[in-house]
Amino acid sequence: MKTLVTGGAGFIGSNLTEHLCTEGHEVIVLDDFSSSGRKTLEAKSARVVNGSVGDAALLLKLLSGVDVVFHLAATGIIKLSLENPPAYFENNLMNGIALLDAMRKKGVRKIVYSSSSGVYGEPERVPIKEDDRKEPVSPYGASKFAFEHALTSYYHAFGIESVSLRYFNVYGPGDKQQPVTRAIPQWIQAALKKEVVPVYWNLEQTKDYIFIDDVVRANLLAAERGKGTAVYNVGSGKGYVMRELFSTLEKVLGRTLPKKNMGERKGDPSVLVADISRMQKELGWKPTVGIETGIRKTVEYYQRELGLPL
Amino acid sequence: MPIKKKVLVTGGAGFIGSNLVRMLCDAGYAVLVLDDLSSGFRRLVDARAEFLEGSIADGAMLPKALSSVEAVFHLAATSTITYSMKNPRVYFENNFMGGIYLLEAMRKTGVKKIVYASSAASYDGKKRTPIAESDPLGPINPYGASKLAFEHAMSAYSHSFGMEGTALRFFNVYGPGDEQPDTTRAIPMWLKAALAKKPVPYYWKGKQKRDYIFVEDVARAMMLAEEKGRDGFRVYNIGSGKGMWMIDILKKIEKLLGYQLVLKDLGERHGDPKYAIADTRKIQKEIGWKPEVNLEEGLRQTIDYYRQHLGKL
Repeated sequence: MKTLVTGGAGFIGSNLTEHLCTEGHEVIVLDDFSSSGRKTLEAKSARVVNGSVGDAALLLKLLSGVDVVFHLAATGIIKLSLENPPAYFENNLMNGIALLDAMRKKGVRKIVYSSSSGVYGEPERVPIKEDDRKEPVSPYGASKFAFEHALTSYYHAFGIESVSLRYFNVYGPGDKQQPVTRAIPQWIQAALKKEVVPVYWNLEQTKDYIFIDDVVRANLLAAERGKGTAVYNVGSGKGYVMRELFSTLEKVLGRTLPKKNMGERKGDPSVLVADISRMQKELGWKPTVGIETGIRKTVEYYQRELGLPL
Repeated sequence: MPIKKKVLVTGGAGFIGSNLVRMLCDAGYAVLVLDDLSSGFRRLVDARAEFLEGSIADGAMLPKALSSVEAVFHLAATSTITYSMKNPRVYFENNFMGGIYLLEAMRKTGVKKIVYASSAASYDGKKRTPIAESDPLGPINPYGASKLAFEHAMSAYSHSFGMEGTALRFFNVYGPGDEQPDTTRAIPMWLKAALAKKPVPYYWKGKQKRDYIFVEDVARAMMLAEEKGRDGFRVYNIGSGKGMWMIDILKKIEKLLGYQLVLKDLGERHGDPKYAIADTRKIQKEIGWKPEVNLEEGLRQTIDYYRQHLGKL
């Protein structure tokens, strides 16, 4: 199939692009290279276009003959969304509307959207189900949720099929985020550089970590099997106290890591775990990579990237 | 004399807004109306209110409009579902981004409280029985999506910046003062046609179940939400809590008018949900609001209004 991957130079997008190319699909990547930490994209057979999802004229050109759009482009840092909310709503909602309108005009009928567990805010219960109460606490979470509604309405009004995948904490090789705000890449890079590892909330939060390859597979299944307009949680379904995760990293590295508690970080619920039964039941997806294996692969990736030993 | 509490009403020259403005003036508030008159009318604004013609997207206008204001009633919106199917982007620009500019200006000027006119179009329209606030959301048209999206922005602003936000999801509001030109709302469309002795257009053969709530009950809910607002973000349904088939409402109108109506079936209208009935227990319990004007009384007042104004519209 012919696909457009917005944000295809980002962490998840670049992994998805590589996978799509390997499977023989035709891929166009649209990325403005604003937040991925990448200057180029390695995937050999993808056509890479440097531009914005808000550029309607460009979209009309790129969407010719496209079967499925994977929409991952977004500004994703919660902390920055507190400093400049309108920019988040422009990028994450309004640019998405430009994309949907271009799809409508070009007759592209399917979109897989990378949403976020940030739509939930403070959960009423865990594991959290897709229909549970959602009260986003950050402008970032609100902007991601807002676009899910745009998708629902475009399905009913214009017949564009959509799947929203609400990612929990995604980790794995290929995360070049700059500046680094995500815990696992931050920890691993500090550890490999033999620096003191910064941690938040004294490692007391409980999170749901899901390995990148499982997330990529969720995207492909959504494109193949998604019907109508649907929303799924994408997580491991297991909650890890951050302290356990930290110990797992220490085990993989074979040494104790010096750490420094940086206190609280605003806009972050203290416990968030996915209920993934809907995605299992409806699309037949389930995670396959365990946390220790996942961390090991991620450590190996950063070793190669940084050229540093364990 | 005590200093009056000053409030800003965006969209205060519209149907619901103008009723709210009058009732706020009656209750002793100092009211400032901000409206771009794109779908409202200057003459509907109570003479006791101050009027500012302008858009919520006007960066220079807002800080001025918010000066010494204690609470904002946000009703400004582009609200015709049919048009939202033709030009969705405009709806997200006006209803969502317009609201973001308002929230930003409130944040910068330190105005903490907002009561937002949201919509039952937030729901998917599948449920046949009363819909509670916690039921699944799923707007079926861009208008509904743009209205619901703004609730999430309010949620984020209340958690991140300490605002107090209440979103009221209106079901079908009717009553005096609805002068929407080329009206798409059923009751004004029906009454205008019926009073002019023209065929009365209707959709879906009247086989839609709706919840009609009188405009003054709605305005009172907004005022109560402002008075009783607390920290954080809340959302409430505003409706009568009773579902009625459209065809039965037509029959009620026929009875009140005392003559038989000629109906004209216009078939289906895209973007219309089949069911929309409110479960209003949450707002009854939490802030003590309930409807006071029943459908018959409300229709009577609405018919009187159009009788008086029809020649002048």
